[in-house]
Amino acid sequence: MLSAKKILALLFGVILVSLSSSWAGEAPTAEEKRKAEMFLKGAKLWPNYCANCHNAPGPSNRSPADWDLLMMHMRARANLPPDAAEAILEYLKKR
Amino acid sequence: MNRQKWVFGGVFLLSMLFSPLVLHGQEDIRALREEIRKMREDSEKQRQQMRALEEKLQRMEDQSAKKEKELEEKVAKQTSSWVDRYLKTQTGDTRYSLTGYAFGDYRWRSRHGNQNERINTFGAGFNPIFLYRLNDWIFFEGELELELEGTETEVALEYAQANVFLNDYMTLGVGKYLTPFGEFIERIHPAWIHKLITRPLPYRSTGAGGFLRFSEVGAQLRGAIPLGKLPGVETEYAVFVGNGPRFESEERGAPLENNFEDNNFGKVFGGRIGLRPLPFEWGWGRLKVGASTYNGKWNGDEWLNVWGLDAAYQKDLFELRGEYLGFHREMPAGVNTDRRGGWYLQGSYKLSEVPIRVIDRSEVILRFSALHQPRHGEIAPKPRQFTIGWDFWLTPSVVWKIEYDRDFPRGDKSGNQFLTQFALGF
Repeated sequence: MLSAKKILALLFGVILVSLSSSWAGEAPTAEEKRKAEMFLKGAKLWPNYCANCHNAPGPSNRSPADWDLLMMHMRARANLPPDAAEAILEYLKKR
Repeated sequence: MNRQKWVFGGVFLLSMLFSPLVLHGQEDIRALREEIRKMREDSEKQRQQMRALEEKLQRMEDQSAKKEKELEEKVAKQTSSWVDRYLKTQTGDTRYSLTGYAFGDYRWRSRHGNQNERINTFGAGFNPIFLYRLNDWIFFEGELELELEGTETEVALEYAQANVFLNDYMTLGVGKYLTPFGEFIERIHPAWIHKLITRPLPYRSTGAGGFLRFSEVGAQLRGAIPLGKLPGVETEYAVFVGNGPRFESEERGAPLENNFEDNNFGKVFGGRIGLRPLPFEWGWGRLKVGASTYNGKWNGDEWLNVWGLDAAYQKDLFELRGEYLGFHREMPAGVNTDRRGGWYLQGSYKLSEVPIRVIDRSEVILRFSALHQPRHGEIAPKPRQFTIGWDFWLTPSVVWKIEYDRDFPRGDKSGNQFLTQFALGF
């Protein structure tokens, strides 16, 4: 006959295993990984390009479509390399 | 004894009678088990067949989609011209956006130098910027400038330019554009970006002795090119052609005028080349240096040449920037050359690490600026200005500024100026 302690330990173990399997979730796709890397790159590039002139705008200021357009404006004005512009755009959209 | 025999016999008889039944029942169970096993096998076979059918269906759907796409592309190529294909938006949508900045300010200036006019006035300005995107490589930008002056509302077109990203390193701009000279005109002058209220002396409005108009009408080509393998080391460039310079008069020291139409069949050519020499991975901050030139005939055969050097350095909370401008205007025969020169040096420091509310959103700025030019009207020929400013950033793009200027021109009376401004970028 199992003791109450052993039953509780068993139950806890079952719950832990089921939760961990649900936390693991699905593996990120290649596109999601690329976007995550771009976000980190953009966060590092922001102070080196944009902060030369102005502060970072608030994250809720714009829609993603607005950020696309503003980045075109800034890419031309500040002579941004296109890879830097893409990374900073990803950072601005997701922060 | 007899009784035991009868019991034994009865049991024996009963077992003989029921054993076929028992045997038959066991056979039924075996048969039933066999049937269940067969049914399971059949079920598994059917599941496998279903899976195979689903995979086949998916393959067929993928092939069908691919063929449909190939057919669409083929039809598009056959029916549309290369111009239509180029202009077709890549996302299917055009976009437009309104941004810009606005400000309200107060200025107080004591009577000094040759200027008899004291100033004690409020002012305001509104600069909407309209952005329109045709596709990923063509967009339009335009800025209006609305300011109050005297009894009028002055409306000006700051710039209106169509831009085309020709490739990763070249952007073509056509229209009215901010003059790509130095750093202040193109990148620093908007009220919500510029940390002070007044402009550095060489970049004041030309009516107050500035050296250049802020915009040209023409075309420019610009871009940035990486140098070497270390990220962050780049060169940037801009070359432009425009209608050319025009002065208010032929007098030495006269200010430049708007040049919306070429008045002498002579264009202006110029450009800026910049260098960002520090790689990101060194962690030494960000340094930008540049050299600019502006050359055009202003009157018949007389040339105007303006050249400049600029530098800006930023690391963490500290920033230092400065520019030098030289100005050489050929004059008609018998008149001395109109030579001018000016510079400014500005340093600022963000106080975000001070653990006191309000102070941690502040920034202090110091600037020194000077220039020399021929005397013209009431404009002091050799002004010098020391400026101290304090900015309080309510948000990253909303700022309240306070500024004090001490003017001590050479050969003229000194004076003071106090200004405060509330500016916001949107």
